[in-house]
Amino acid sequence: MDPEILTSAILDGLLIGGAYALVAMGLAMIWGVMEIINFAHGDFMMLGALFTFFLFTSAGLDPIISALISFAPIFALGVIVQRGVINKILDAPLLTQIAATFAILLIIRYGVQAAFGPYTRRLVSGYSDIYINLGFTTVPLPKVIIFVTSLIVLGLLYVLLHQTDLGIAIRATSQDRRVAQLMGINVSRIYDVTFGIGVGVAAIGGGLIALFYPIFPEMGGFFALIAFIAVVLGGFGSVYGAYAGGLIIGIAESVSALFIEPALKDVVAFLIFIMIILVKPTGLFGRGD
Amino acid sequence: MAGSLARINLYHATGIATLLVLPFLLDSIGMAFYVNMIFLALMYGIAALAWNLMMGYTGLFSLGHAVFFGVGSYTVAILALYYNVTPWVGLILAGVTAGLLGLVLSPPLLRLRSHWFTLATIALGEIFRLSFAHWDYVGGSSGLQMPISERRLYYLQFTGATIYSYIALGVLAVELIVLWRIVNSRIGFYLQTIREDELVAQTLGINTFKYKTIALAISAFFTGIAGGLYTVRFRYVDPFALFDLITISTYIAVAGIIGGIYTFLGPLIGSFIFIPVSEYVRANIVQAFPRIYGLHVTVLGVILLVISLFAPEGILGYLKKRREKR
Amino acid sequence: MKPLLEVVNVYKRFGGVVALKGVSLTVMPGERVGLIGPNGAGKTTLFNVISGIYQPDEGKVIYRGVDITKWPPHKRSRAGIARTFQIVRPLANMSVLDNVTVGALMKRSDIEEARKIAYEAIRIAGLEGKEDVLAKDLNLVEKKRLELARALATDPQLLLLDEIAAGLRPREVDSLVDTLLNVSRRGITIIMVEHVMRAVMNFAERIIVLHFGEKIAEGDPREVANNKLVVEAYLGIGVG
Repeated sequence: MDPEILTSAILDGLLIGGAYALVAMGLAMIWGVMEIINFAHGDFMMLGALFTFFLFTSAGLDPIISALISFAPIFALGVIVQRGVINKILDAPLLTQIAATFAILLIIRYGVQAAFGPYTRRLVSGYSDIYINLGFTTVPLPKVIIFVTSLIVLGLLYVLLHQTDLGIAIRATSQDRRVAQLMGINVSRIYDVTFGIGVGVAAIGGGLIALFYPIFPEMGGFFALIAFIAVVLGGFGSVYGAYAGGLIIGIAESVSALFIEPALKDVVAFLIFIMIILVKPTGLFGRGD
Repeated sequence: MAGSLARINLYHATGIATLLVLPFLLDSIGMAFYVNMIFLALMYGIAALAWNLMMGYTGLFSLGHAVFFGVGSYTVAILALYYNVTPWVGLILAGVTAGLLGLVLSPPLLRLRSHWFTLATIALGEIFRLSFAHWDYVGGSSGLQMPISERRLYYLQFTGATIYSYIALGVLAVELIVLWRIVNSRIGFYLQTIREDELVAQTLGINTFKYKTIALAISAFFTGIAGGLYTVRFRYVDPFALFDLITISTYIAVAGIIGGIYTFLGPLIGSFIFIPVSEYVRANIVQAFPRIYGLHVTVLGVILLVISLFAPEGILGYLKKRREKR
Repeated sequence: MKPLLEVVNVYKRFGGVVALKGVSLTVMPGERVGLIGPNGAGKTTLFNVISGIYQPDEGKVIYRGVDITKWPPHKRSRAGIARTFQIVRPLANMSVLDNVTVGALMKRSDIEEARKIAYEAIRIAGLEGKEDVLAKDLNLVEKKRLELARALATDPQLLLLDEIAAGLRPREVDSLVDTLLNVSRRGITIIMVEHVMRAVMNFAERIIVLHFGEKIAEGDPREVANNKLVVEAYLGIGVG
C-alpha cells in the first residue's frame, strides 16, 4: 500500500474523529454523572445539524457560527427533557430508563420527520470546496474546523470541570449523589446542567458534521452508535477517554475503508461494536467497575 | 403465580369467544380493514408474548426481535419459493430456524447485561438488515415475492385476512399453552429469579446461562413463527420491512410494555390496544397527509414515554395493582 | 471425622489491594463458627471465595474432600453450600413463598413438593404468615429471615451467614440466634460473619478473627474476646 494514501487516510480519520468525539464526550458526561444511558443522544446531535442548516439557509448565518449557536437551544431542550423525563426515572428500574430514553429518540427522530419531511438536506456553503494543501496531501477545510473545534470544546470542558465551582459540584455529584446532596449541592440542578451540556456539545458536533455530511431525520442512529463505541473504548463516563475513543474510531474507520467494500462498511462497524462491548466492557482506558 | 389451565375465568372465556367470532363477523359485513387489523394484532401479539418471556420473565430487554421475526419470514418464503415446501410446514420450520439462531447467538449475547444487551440487540438487527440487503440468495434489497399459485391450500393463499386470522389464532393457542406451562414450571421460577438477581440465582443452584439460553431460544421460536405468518399473509419479504428497528422490534416491545411485562397476558392485550391505534393513525392521518409521514411513530414514542413515566407496570399490571389494593 | 470445609492458603487481590493473604481454616461437620474482624478484614471476600462468586488468585477450597476451587457458584450450591448476603438481596417482585420455593426447586422439579419444603423453611426461619407478601414489602428483620429461609430451602450442609444480625435490635438479635441454634441442631454446619458481638458470642462455639486479610486468632469465644491481638485490631481502628 502506498504510504501516502495511508497517511492521508489516517489524517482524514483523525479530523472526522473530532466530530465523533464531540458527540461521544456529551454521552460520556451524561453517563458518568447521571448513570443514565441516553439512547436519544444521536438525535439531539441531529437537531443540532438541522438547526444549523435552518440558521444558514433562512438567516444566512455563517454555518460554523450557527453550529456553535445551536448549543443554546439544544442545551435548553436538554434541560427540559431532564426536568420532564430523566429526573423522574433516575431511580426507576433499568428497563423503564431504556424505554423512556428510547421514547425520546422516537419522538425527536420521527417528530422531525413529520414536521420537516423525511428529506435529506445538504448544507452547501462557502467552506465546502476549500481545501488546505499540506504538501503530501490536501484536507478539506470543514474537517479541519471540526477537529479544531473539538479540541477547543475539550479544553473548555476541562476548564469547566476542574477550574469552576460548578465543575467541582458536577464531579462531586458523579462520585456520590447522596454525599453531594449532604454537602448542599442541588443535585437536580447539576443534572439539568450536565444533561444540557451533554446534548448541547453533541449538537455542536452535529452542526459541524453538517458541513460535509447529509442531514436527515435518522442520521443520529449511526452517530449514536459511534458515540457508544467511543464511550466504551474510553471507559464509561470518562469525557477525555471518550474524546480519545472518538479519534480512534475516526482513524480506524477511515483506514479500514481502504480494505473493506463500502457496502459492508456499516455491517463491520456494528459487528465491531458488539465485539467491543463483549471483549472489553470496562473500556480501554477504563475506570473499572 | 400458581394456577393451571383449568382456571379460566369469565374474562378469558369472553375474550376467546370474541376472538373466535370477530374475524368472521367483520369479514361478513365487509369491514376488511378491521379484519386485517385483527390479524396484525394477533401477529404482533404472538411475537410480544414471546418477547416477554425474555423481558418480563428473565429481565432481558431486546430491541432486536426483528432478527428472529425476519429470519422466520424469510424461512417460509425461501422454502416455498426454492423448494416448494408448503407454508404449513414452513411456519414450523420458521420457528425452528429462528430458535436455532437464538441458540447460536446466545453465547455472545447473553454475556451482556442491562443496556449493553439492549444495544447489542439493536446492532444485531442492523447487521441482519444490511447483510440480507446485500445477499443475492435472499433477493438482496428488493426481497422475494411469492407468486400467486393455483394450489391455494398448499401455498396458503386466500383473499383477505380472515383465514389468516384463524391460522394466527391457532398459533396463538399453542403458544399460550406452551408459555403457560413454562412459566408455571421450575423454568419459570428460575427465569424470574434471574430477572430479580442473577447472583442470588447462582447461589440458589441455578445455571443462569443455561436458563437464559432456554428463554432466548423459545422466545426466538415463537417470534419466528410470527414472522412466518407475515410471509403467508403478505406474500412479500424484504429486508427493510422485516429487519426494521421501529415497525418490528420496537412495535413488539411497545406492545409488551403497554400491556404489562409482569403479567402473562399483558403483551397480547397490549398488542390489541397498540396495533389498532397505530394502524388507525397510519392509515387515516398519515395516508391523508403524506407530508407528515413519521407521525405514527412519533405517536408511538409519546405512548411509550407516557407509559414509562406514569404506568411503568403497563395497563394489565396497573389494573392488577389496583385490584390488589382494594 | 473428616472436615466439611477446608480453605487452604487462599490469596485474593483486587488491583493493588490484597484482600486475603494466605488464609487457611478448617470447619468440621455440625460446627458453629463465628468469623469476625474489623471492616475491610476480608470476611465477605472469604465468603465470596467459598461460595464461588470470586476465584482465589492462589490457594484451594476443599469441600467434603473435593477440590471445588474452580467450580461456579451454582454448582457449589447444588453440592450443599448455601449463603445469605450482607446487604439483603430479596427477589423483590416475587412473594415470600416464591422466593423460598426457588430455593427448594434446586433439588426437585415438582412445584407442589417444592412448596411444601418452602412452607417448612419459612416456618423454621420464623416468617410464618408472610408467605404471600411481596419480598420488597418486608421490613429488614423479615428480609433477613427471608434470606435464611431461602438458603434453608436448598437443603444445605454448609450455611454461610453474612452479617445476618446487622441492623437488628438486641431483642431481634436474640430471637434470630434462637432460630439459628435451631437450624444448627438439624445438623447444618454454619459459618457466621458478624459484627454484632451479642450474636457471635451467643451462637458460635469457635471464633476465627481476620485482620487485613490475615487470620490473627482462632479459638473459644471467651478466649478470643480476651486475646490481646484481637483487642488491638478492633481498638486500632476505633470500633468497639
